[in-house]
Amino acid sequence: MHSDIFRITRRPPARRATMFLTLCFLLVLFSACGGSTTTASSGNASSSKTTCNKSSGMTLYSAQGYDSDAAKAFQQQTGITVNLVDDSTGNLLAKIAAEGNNPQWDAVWFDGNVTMQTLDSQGLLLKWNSPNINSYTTLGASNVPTDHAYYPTGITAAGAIVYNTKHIPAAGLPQDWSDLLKPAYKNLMAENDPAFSGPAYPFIAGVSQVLGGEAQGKQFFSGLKANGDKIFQTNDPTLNSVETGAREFAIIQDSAYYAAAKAGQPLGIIYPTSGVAALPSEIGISAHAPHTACAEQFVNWLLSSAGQTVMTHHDPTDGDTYFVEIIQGVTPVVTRQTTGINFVNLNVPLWAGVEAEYKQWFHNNVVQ
Amino acid sequence: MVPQQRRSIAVVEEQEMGAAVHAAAPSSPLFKRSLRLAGQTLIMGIPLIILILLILYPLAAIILQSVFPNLYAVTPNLLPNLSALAQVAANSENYLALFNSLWLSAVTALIACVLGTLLAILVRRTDLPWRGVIDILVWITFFTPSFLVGEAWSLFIIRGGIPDQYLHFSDGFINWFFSPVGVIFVLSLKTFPFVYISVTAALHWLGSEFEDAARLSGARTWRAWISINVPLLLPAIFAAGLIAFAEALSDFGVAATIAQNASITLVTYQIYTAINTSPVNFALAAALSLLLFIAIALALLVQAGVMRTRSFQVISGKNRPARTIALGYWKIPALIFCVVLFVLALAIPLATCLTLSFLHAFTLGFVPSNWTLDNYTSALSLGSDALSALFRTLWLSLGTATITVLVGLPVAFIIRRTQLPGRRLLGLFTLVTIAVPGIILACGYIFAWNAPYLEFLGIGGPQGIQFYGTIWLLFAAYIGGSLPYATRLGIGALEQVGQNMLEAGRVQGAGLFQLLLRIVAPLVRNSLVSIWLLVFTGTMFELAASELLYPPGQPTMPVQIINFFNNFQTGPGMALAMLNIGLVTLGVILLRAVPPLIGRILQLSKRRKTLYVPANQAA
Repeated sequence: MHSDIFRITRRPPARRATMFLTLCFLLVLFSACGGSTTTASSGNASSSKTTCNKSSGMTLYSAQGYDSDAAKAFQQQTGITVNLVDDSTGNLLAKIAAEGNNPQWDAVWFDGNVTMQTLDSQGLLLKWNSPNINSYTTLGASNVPTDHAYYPTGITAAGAIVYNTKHIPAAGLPQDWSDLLKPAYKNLMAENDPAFSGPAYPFIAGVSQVLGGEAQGKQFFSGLKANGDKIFQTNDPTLNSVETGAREFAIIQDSAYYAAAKAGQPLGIIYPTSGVAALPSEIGISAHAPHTACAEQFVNWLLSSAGQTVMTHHDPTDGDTYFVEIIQGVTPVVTRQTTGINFVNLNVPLWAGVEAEYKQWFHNNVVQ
Repeated sequence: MVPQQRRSIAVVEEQEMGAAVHAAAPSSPLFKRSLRLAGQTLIMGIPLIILILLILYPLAAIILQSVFPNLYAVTPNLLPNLSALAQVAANSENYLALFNSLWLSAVTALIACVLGTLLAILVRRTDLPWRGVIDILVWITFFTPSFLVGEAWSLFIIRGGIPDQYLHFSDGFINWFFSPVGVIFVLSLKTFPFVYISVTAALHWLGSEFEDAARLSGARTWRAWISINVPLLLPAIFAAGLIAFAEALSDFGVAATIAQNASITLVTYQIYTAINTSPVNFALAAALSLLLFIAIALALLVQAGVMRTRSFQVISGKNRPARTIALGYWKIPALIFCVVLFVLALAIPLATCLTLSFLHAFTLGFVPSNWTLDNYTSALSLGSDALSALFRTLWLSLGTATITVLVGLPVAFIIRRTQLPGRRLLGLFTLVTIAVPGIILACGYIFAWNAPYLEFLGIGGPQGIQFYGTIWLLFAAYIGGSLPYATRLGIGALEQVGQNMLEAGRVQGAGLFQLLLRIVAPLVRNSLVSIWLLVFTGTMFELAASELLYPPGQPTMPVQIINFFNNFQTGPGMALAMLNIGLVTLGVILLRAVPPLIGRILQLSKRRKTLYVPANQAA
């Protein structure tokens, strides 16, 4: 039967027919899958949902610097295996979206309540009550969503103003966002592109919220652009531009500043008085998690002093270590400013709703 | 002098099955014949199945979503929806992006072709000093990850960086570099090794007979090369040039790092923002990827247009040894060309990375307090994790390279030398796979191999065979990702093999298996070795598939390196990258130096019959 596939003579109609057949084959393949998926995960609600099987453990998708330390310590303390997938937030989002209704992850952990809210709105997250919810500080408790679909594990500022202590402009340092529009600061600013940088959109949303809304925010960023604002990809190149003196001010996630200052860079930080967006590191459990019970234990552990201690003891050259603790009774190891910061909690559903539109606007009007 | 016929080989089964042949060989028992048939089915069928399962199916799983957005939705359906396509067509920025991607990639491919061909000829055909070293340097250039090279160059030219502190770059120069010029510059330096590797393999069989004929007719050496030999090398140049084009088309990292503020929109940027930021939009990403199909189809048309004009078969069975050209006074400019090329392609980026790996903070400059070994301590603090990641990456790379070569040659043979229907489409798909950004293909793998319907085939689910989330999926993705390169380069190599050799083989009664194993494989042996090494070193630093598909808890080495960069720990990231580049370099030196040595020892111990291969070309 194979013999008539390989032919000497040219037969154009046959070739076309095969292309058609290939297409048909693909179509049949995909339509076959179309009807079959509904029954897929019915028999899956086995014991692993309610009790944790320590050896099979759980799968954690995470973008946190301290995730590997946390996974190892948890495994050591509880005997529950944690299979870690450590990747950038963007890649994790793509992976979660592609896994769709057959998720292979139990918990996902990254910075940003707006992004986490989008996953929640898509019905991907489990709504559950952690017993450790009472251990939160006031700041922590104010960041827990009402539907309990995800939990903050620490807080950083999405965007603060970082400057080079060796290049302070004649006009002095700006105190608030509106100062940055002054002619004295023309061509001195740098910030991140929300298409690449996770904390950039929460920062943009935060400034907009402080100024009164999306329209005011767009006006501000148009003004900033007109004042010579330069956009870099992520925290690192933006910060580099200030370290090298190419720019005088950078708006970046404050944890990146603390790591750079620790490395010896001559840098200072300003928290604008009208407020900076709180950027919580969030962890959520999959609504269709194969190992829900283990995942819940892991989250509870993170929200305890045992878990927090591991996170704060992470490598001090990694910016992620410099978060504001939001669990009571945890002593930080690395030093960072925790008081005197006017943290603003984002109106998460509002900013999650306009995210795609606002980012596109930003790309077309500020980045380009 | 150059054979003009362009017949394709008739695959042997038909003859075998035909009554005439059957009558001519009445003595062959039935089981022997069926064994042979099974062998032929195997050698054609298995590569095709691998190609379909590892490339076509994952690619289709994501690309089809441009038209069927709910293919893998929570409640899947096959309702066609053209809104994503309409969205792409309605946004005028996308046309601009396609235009930008096209010209940027075309210029990159052109420069890569010129650099690679020139270098290959200099190394293989002239008396240029240090030829062996140059060969190794090309390999290091090839496998050094492009995100490192992009990062290194942008830090090298950056205002206030260490070079700027001493050289004081002008604004004009910095703006000139951080633009498409810089992107083309870095990408050309990254992709010329493909051309070099392809052309050096092709030069192996290009004897001096054509050149001599031209010289006898009064042409000078350079004239003979430009009008005869270089055109004869076109299949190899095109094979690699298309890869360079597709690589540039799919590049995202370099363009984003260097053209950061150049206001130049590329197709990959549009794709990336659709897929890598919340909310993820696969339909849009898939629709945008169709633009890359257009670009690749255009490139293939150009290639077909040029290739149709003549035959490029140079292996005819009576090849003569090639002569070495004495460069004479040209030795100095040739040497300067090589030195400049490698200073730009390798020395500057690697030196920048190496320096970074020994500094606390790049911008503090060369003050004594800034030098440190801490980055290496940090990198090595991964300890056994790093070691197991290294071994995992190593066996995956070895396996991928071996399987890719075994499968790639038959696939190239199918595309180039058979009349199998759909082979052109196959050719198009292999190239599209390179042009589509790695993250798209990796997502295609997730859709394709995590699909709930696979449970009915016994794959996945609580009871089925686990494939998604295991190391085998990553292995499959590596093979799928490497096959297009092997196939394209294999096609270039096959173009050289004379039809008469295959026909002679068939007349002698060789089956397809024997044809491939005994005639084609030995003839393109040099290409196969290069392709093996290319896939091996490429996989050692593969990032896109690794990041998205590595099994939970079992990262590969590139994943560990990029994790440092993701956490903005540039120093330790550079340190780990340097250690790995050092290790792979050592491996390449061993692999390039040891086989010739063994070959020489073997030749001494037993004298082999040299059939049609002149002894002085066999090395």
